[in-house]
Amino acid sequence: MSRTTRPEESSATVRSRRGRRTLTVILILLLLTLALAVNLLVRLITPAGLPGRDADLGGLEWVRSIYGMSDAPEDQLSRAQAAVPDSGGQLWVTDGEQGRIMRFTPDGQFQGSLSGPADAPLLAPSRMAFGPDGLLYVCDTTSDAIRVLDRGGNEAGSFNIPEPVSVAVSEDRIVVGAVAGFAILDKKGQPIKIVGSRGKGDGQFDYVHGVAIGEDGTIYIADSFNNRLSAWDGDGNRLWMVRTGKPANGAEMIDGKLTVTDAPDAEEGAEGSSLQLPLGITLDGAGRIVVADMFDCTLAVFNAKDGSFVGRYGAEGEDDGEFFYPVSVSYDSGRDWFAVADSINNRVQIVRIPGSSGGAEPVSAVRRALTGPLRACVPPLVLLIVVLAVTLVVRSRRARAAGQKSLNDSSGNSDFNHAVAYTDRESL
Amino acid sequence: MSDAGPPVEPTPQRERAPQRSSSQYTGIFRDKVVRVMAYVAAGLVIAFLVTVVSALFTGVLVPSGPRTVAEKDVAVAAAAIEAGSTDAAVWGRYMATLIAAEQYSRAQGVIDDARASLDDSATAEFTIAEARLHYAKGRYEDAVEAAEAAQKQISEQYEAALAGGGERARLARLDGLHANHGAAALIKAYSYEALGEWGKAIEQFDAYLESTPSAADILIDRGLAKIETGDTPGAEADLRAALAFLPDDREALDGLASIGVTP
Repeated sequence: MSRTTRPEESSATVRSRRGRRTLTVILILLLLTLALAVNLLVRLITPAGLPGRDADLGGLEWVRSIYGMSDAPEDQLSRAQAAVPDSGGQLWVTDGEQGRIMRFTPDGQFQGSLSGPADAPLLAPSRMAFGPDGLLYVCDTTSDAIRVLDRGGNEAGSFNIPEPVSVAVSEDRIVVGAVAGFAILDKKGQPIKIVGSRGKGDGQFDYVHGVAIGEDGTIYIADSFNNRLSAWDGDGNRLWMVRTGKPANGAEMIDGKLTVTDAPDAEEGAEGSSLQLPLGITLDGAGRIVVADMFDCTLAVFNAKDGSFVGRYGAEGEDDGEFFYPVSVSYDSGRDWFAVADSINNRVQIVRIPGSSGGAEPVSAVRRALTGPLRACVPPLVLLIVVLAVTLVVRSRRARAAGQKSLNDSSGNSDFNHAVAYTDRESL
Repeated sequence: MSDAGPPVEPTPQRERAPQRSSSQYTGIFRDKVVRVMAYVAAGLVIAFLVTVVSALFTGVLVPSGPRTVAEKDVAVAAAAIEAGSTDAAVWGRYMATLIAAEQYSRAQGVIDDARASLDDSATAEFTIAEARLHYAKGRYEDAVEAAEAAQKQISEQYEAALAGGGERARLARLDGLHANHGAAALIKAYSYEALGEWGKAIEQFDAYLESTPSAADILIDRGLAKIETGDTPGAEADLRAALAFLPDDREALDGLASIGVTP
């Protein structure tokens, strides 16, 4: 039998070897082609002039910037004021030039803009906040009003507040920061409490450029020119207040004379903890207060429980990841990133800072990765897992079937089985 | 029998039974190794295609506007060119942004196109761009040569304007040499620095600072160059002068510290 089958076996072996060689060459060429294609794809999605080559951003991670509605010079942002994410991650942006609210995808693609109702357009929209109801609350400072718009730009309400400069919205509260303090309103715009008067003393305020509301209803206030942070309950009772640096308003009119005085508690904080000028604030996923320090050109982080300093991120400059007069900051919990209105650099920067998610770091890392280009790898990964799972199931079924057959056959004649097996082999 | 596969030793029934019979395959695919390799190849191609389709659907490959400052500068400058600008300065800015974004071949193409259709005789924009391109590519001698050519071109135009008299001469006298003359001096200075010729670099910084004495960043560069030549007093003077404009400048402070001077 071996004599009659040897030529056929030899021919098959030769064919098999040839096949292996051919497939090996094809595989190598395929791998090289795929590597080249992947390289081209990576180059395509990698931005030119990546930041951080020699910049020390203090742990801040730059994601991307948004510069304007198109490449035309007249469509570029100028003096960015605010950038807030909606529940879908789309960014709503205001600046000092366009006089309207611009909408961008999380990838920075311009989607459109709105200017309010035709009969009562927005005059100078600046800071904004989305409410849990999906409505957009906009500070229209020059008209002394908070305008409430739906996503289509239709008026959904409006209430007058003198010189509103910041706004935050929760399920049952609207908090509006103004020049002389802040107002706590119910969702109908009716005042619950008006807090403060203008000045440097305890209980006084000088431009509340930052307001935020915590999940437990605590209200956080950045008293910008007094350089103070404070926390309040939903009824307007103060929980704590900290001085975050020297006040920017050293001069005041006393008896008709401009007099320079320092606040009595204006001592410098620990190294690196003092702010130059706190403006916009937000709360991150870990519940920390993140402050845009305009004159230090950084983001500073504070503990929401007591206002203690946690850290500082970013640097002054015009390169990617650097700031030049950042005026507001907002947090997108779905993507664990911050949108910073980088005013003088005429852009909105998307950045991340360490510890902002508040969850387990591996989970945060995966979530962060999936908001970037790596999200394109999810479908093939799922496909791979499905294929592997199907293969495993099929193999285990076959193995079980074989085991069953073996058990059944073990009761029969083993010589017969061997003969069948041998015949099977010959039939190959 | 004619389509027999590779020789196989008789195996126990338990192992053979679950395997698909090789007779179901033809040609080279009767070999299990070949089949596995084919599966891997097909899997790779499918995974790649799925990734590309996924990238398109998830917006990863969809253009979404400039992401970095370099991309933004290129995009805005390109938009100005596409709008039909024939201003050599606008073209020069476009070239500079392309070089800054490290798109060298594209920059060379734009320089060639501009030379073919526009006149830069007064400002030497395109020659300056060539000098920048040489410098960016690390061809420092060529950068110096191109920068000198640009300076010569600008000087000749300036002299010609003065010699012509009239309003043009008056304006030339008011404006002085075009700013690109100073830009060329800086390209030469940085090229000499890269070549380790610190003395020549300082000469070029001197030339630049003669017309722009309050350029603090150039004072710092000259101060640091003087440190390299051992001119410690000169370096200290330059760095201190720079700190008068930029009190917190890290480079200047580090430079002073490196020569043992307390700011």
